[in-house]
Amino acid sequence: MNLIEINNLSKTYPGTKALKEIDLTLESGHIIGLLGPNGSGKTTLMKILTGIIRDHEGQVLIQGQPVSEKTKALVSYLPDCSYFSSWMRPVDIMEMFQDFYQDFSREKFRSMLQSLGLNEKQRIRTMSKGMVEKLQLCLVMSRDAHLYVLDEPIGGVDPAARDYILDTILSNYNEHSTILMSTHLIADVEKLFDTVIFLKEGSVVLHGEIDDIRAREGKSIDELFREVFRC
Amino acid sequence: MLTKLIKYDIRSTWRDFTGIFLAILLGVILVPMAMKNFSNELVQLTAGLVAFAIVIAVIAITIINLFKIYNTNVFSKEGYLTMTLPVKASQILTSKLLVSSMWITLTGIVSIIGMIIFTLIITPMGLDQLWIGFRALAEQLDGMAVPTLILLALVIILSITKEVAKLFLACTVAHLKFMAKWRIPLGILTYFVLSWIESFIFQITGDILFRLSGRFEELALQLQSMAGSATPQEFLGLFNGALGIGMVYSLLLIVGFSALTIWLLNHKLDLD
Repeated sequence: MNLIEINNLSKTYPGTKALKEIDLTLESGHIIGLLGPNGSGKTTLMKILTGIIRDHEGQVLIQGQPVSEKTKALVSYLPDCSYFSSWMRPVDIMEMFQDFYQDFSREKFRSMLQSLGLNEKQRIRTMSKGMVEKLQLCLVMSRDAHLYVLDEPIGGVDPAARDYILDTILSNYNEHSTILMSTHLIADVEKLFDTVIFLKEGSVVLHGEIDDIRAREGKSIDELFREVFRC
Repeated sequence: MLTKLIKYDIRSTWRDFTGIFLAILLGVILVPMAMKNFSNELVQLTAGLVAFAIVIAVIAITIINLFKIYNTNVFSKEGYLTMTLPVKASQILTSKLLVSSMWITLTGIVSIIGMIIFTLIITPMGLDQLWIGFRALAEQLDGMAVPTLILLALVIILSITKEVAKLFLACTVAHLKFMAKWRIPLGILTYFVLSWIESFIFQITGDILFRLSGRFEELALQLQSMAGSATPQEFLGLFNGALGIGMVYSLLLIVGFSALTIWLLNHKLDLD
């Protein structure tokens, strides 16, 4: 069974069409780069997969089921913003994840926090933007999910932490799960991907295995991206 | 999952409501003491203003927290966490309705206790005299008042829940994409439109019942004559019936408002 099946998916905002009749099938066991310039529909597609956007046309299935509380149990989502309440500390959100997600590992979370030098008792509202991003990544990667949806996971962190984060993502990857990651820092993460999807103005303009694309085009994904999306 | 949601909704709001309760209790002790011990007009005026400020603050903080429980938790960035939890929209809404109603009810109870404390400090009446008065009233009603009081409490709680459900529906409507430009005024307008529809349906239902039942007019006259010459027990019986109807009315509207909210969350949710 396909992990993700998207049929004729469209999303319209007043005055603009964010996604245009997308058809896409993704299988388990891949690290997929979702690439495109600003406004190409990457975040919208991710929000639809995670159930943050329900107002769309077309069909989205995850492991054969429409997006619902059942698929949310399979998907681990890292949004491009902080979603914590002001009262929370890492230890509170850890307890919350443990309560709601059966696949959450407290030990893994604590070990990642420690590696990144985060204090589990510190109020999240007193943390810097980079620290909050690291914390969210720790939460997301401490789950043994079927699908990881990562929206710009390394966008706001320093280069030193970037390597740790990429290593973390890689070490948590297994053949039963798929990672769908959007990023603008293609050169930094290109080595991770085995599949890429190029989105342009709401349409899929390229979808394939990275080795095939490199061989066919004779250039790196970063170079190809710059060529396809040249302003 | 519902109990877990309730746990986290309480954890996110208990600090604010504890603050409200402390403000109420502090106010009802300090204000009457100042009024009683100082004959100076300025002190009395200030005490009155402080009491008024506390009442306004309690109302404002309660409303802000209702928004925090639902609007902030679902439609702000916090919604990225809330709405990706593996729970049904109906469970999220039920949890928030229950917790909001619980806090409003507790605020009401603390306010009543506050008023009793206020009265005891400001008047020479002692706690024993208050108890004697309460027992005399209970004896006169011959124990019949207990079910009525329970029913009355339930009707009040259900009508609070109904208003909260209406407020949540208005918030949800205000977050529809086509409302984005005028979200706040349209949200407020939606609340008043819903209130108007509610009173309109109430009136129409009453009229239909009145016309459908040939005996309704006769029954109304009978009830009117009974109310005039009824014993306290008979009056309580009539009152209980009216409360029962009020409960059903509130329950139906809670279900209606909630069903609409759940449908919108399941089909029209679109977080920025």
